[in-house]
Amino acid sequence: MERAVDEDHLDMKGAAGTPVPVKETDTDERAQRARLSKVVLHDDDEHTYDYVVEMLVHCCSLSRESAFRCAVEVDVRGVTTVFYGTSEECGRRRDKIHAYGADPHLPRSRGSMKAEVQFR
Amino acid sequence: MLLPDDLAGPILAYFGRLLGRPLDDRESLVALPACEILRLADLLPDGFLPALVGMLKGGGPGIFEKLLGDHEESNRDASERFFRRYMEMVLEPPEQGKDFNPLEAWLPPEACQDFAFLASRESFFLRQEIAHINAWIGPNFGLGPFPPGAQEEAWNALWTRITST
Repeated sequence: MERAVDEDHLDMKGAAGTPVPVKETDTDERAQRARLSKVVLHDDDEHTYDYVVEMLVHCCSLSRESAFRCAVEVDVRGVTTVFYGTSEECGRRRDKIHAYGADPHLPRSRGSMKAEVQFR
Repeated sequence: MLLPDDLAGPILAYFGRLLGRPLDDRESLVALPACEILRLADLLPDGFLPALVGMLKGGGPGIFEKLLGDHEESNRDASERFFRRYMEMVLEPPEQGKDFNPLEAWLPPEACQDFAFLASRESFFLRQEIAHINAWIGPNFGLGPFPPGAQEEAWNALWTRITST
């Protein structure tokens, strides 16, 4: 199931969507780890579906439909992966999520959702 | 949304009646195969889809995959129908037109006296178009108008006004 539509994914998929294996060398393990990261979003009770969708479209460049599936997954499972890429790019996306602020639809919401970068 | 236990019984009875088999508890619902959960979703009126998701919440790591049809082609259409209907059910319709101002909708001026609340809305405020900021900040706080790109200046002016009164 397609989740993320983002040009950052093109380093792991060819332009036509064909998986391109990441080159692996003994001396380049660190670089490989840097390429294989993901951003994981955690559930809470302070954010609405509307917020999650809007935030993921803005912060992770997901389509509205992909963002909604992530919103359902985080609601049902408690976590969802919202972005794949280099650790540097994942860090930037995580920071954007953390800077997005409270959910304006919900008066009790006082902050952003929690996200973290994980190695795949 | 996690449904309270006292609602779970009647809802499970209703789901079971639609499926033609008894559902004694949440576990029996969660244990259904993907095709049965999606068949149930098809049988439910739109208004009950949040209840279905609420009942499935916390049902283990595989429960979301069941909503995706366990990635089986035969479940694909049902899964897509579920997500489309659920999305239309739970998301607010996109606001259209220039007249809609998110600040007027979600940042009541009286709530801005609560410093913690106002501080938590900074990012939301800064994302708004300057025209919407001016339409909101002028009548409510006598500030502005601010030129294009001056969101931060407008925020600082608002914060100073609120904290100094």
